[in-house]
Amino acid sequence: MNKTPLERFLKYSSMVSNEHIFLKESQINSYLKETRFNYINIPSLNLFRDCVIDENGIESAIVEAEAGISETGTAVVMSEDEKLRLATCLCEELTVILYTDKIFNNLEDIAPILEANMRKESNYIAFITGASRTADIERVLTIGVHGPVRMKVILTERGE
Amino acid sequence: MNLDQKIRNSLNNKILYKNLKNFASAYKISRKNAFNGLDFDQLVADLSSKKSRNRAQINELFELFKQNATSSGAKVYQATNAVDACRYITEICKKHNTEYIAKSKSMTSEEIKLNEYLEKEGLKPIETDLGEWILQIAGEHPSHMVMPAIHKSRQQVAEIFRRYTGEDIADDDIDKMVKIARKYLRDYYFKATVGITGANVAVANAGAIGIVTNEGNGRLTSTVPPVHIVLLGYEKLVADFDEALKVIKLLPKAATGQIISTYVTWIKGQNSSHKNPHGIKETHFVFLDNGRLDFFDHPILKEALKCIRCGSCANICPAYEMVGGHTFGHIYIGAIGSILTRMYHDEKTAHELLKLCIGCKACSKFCPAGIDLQSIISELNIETTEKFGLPAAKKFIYRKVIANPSIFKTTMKIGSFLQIPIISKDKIHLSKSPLPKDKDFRVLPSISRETFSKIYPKIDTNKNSMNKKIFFYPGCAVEYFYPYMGKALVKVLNRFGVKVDIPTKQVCCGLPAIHAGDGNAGKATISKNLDYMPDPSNYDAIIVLCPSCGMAIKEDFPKHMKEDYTKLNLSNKLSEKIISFREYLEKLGIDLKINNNVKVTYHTPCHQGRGLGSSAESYLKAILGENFIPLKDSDVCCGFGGSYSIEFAGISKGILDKKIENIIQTGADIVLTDCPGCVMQIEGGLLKKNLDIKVMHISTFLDSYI
Ligand code: SF4
Ligand code: SF4
Repeated sequence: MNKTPLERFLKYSSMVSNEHIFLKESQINSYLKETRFNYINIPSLNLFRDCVIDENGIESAIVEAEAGISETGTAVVMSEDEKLRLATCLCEELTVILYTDKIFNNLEDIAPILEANMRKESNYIAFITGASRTADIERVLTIGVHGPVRMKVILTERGE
Repeated sequence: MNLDQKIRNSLNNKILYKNLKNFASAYKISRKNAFNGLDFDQLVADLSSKKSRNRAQINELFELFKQNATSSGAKVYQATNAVDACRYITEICKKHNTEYIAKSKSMTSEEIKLNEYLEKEGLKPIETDLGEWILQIAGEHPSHMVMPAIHKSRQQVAEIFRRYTGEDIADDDIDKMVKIARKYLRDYYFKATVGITGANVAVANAGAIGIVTNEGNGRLTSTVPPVHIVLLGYEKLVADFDEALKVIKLLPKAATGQIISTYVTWIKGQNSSHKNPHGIKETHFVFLDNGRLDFFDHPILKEALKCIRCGSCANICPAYEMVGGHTFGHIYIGAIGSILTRMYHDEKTAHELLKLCIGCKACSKFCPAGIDLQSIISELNIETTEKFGLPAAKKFIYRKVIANPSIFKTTMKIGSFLQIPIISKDKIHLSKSPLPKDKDFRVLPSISRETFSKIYPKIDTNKNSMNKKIFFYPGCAVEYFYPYMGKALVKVLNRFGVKVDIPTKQVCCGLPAIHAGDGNAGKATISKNLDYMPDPSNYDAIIVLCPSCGMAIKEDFPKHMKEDYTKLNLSNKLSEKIISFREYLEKLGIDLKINNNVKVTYHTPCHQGRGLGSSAESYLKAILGENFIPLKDSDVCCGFGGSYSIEFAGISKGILDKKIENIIQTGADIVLTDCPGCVMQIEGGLLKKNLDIKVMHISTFLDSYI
């Protein structure tokens, strides 16, 4: 049986050990209150929190994904904002909010999004699929070599 | 150190052996899973055709990229060669008074030896990719393009880190090693004013680049320091994001068997940077020529510019698996490494590396960019051999002996007499190897007293009911060593009403000379061979028992007869009709059943599976049912490669040992294969080890058991 884009996304996102949380849009606010994120950047809900980010990194960050790719379990995160870039690179735990209506099937489907956003003079877009990892020592998979040690994806439907 | 010493060292390196063997076997599985459900050949064909560009087309893409990338003030520099690129990058670093430079992995920077140059100028480049950093502090170079430190054990890394940091690290505590790297490297991103990265793709119509990493060091290197330098070759240019994503789709799957790398980072122009006094980043794109631009118009080498640096051609290379990238490589490693060494580095070194190829064609089959690496290697081998010469003894053999059928025949005849004192009791092997001890890892077959051509007229045939006719080209192995394989073929085919004709004179197919790099001798041999080939239209098929001869007829005959129209014409016709004995049986559609209880496994010869294009596995499964036991890595080379197994006996033996290990695991009584060379290698190895497993050519097996 063919999987829906969401099911397929979950399959591949789970393969890189991401944790998944299903929330209604209306629950996100209280989730943010429970989980004290150092850095928040969720434009759809107009929710932002800033913090100082230096070489010591930060504990946690939550950002909104522009899109998801189901064939790879990837979150596409617009990262033009330098603070967001630093936060997603230097947090211990990264949480991404992904609206389920923005999950695309294949990598190729993201071409138009890249095309449109790269018309600007400058931009920075990140595909993120799991926590920072390495297998450089005897091919043993080890997590968190430079960036986040854990990644969570919050899947949410719009307007509930 | 010369190549022989390097090979010996690598073969004696137990850590290297273990790491590469484990990797090769895990890689094949994860790669297969990653491509599951995708049409690999179609993806490859798409990417390959998109990436077919000549110099003018690449130039167009470059101009477009430049225009788009500079719209926000980024600079684009065209470096003509390594020194030019190093100098430009050093100037920028000095202008910004940086002590440290954060670097994320870039093979192009290895190509131009950037670190060495920067260090001489008093700068401190820091490799931030874990593998590269380990090697940097150990004072070594990468031995693989994707997994630079694959030759190191955890104990060795622990020792390197203990010495460097003074911290206490247990020998097998990989977690701690990674944490230490995280701690040390984190500081450097912030200390560095300049970050240097490569790019996996440069998207012309957007002026953007894409960088692939798992660790996230590419993101940090391009984000934290206020200056970003991107060093890349022109071959990284792609037209648009659609093409770029095709690369991204294939690269991680081919490289490590991952579905996608953890991070794919797309950057355009100069983004905000609080550490830069102007509030925006200073970005430089350094495009490296170093000979590339001319190669875009080169008839053969332009293909190599399609490479997306996935490392597959090393991952699946049996010779690489034995010796690793420090031996099978210069700066770039493996199959593509020997080609790129000829293009960007030293031809003499390339000449040596090209010889390490055993010709198994696995690289060509697995390359996601559709590069026929083995053919390029073969052509370059001829080119560099012409320049640097072939040892006199070999030249004599290929030009004066093999290319001349009468002399060859006489030589073999003399050999068959000379060997008499060392013929073993079974009459078909030698009891003592004429080779020196370090090359003596197999029991060798004896030269047959009677050639196949001599035996052929005496084979009993049922003359009445022949309704089909094929032409059988025996090749040297069957003619001189294994006439019984040819005899079996004739008997089996006759049983099914197929008449078998053979050449009136047996001439070598030319492959040994071509493989040795003697193009002229190869050509002369092929030309002579064609004098005895029939018009294929009179035959149902042209059949071989040796797929290497088959592949030579299929590919090399037309390739080397371009100047002789009549012979080219004949070559093309032969090329279309050439198939193996088993393929022909399948084509006939005869329903065979084998009625006995022997357990059988099958080794797929390289030139059968990848040369002629199909393995006998499914056929044998069908006729043997339960008694057929699949062989792990059936299609991996057995290590024969003709004279390769003498010249590089250590590598050949190592490859064979792995094959034998897999054969033992099947528990089979008989190993089937359909190449006399593989029989020579595998049977010789099993006999040497006193293992009671029979090796048979499919022809002999069918003749004995149906
Ligand atoms: S030549 Fe092909 S297989 Fe080898 S690294 Fe390049 S793309 Fe990969
Ligand atoms: S043909 Fe085989 S031996 Fe030669 S480089 Fe390719 S994979 Fe290695």
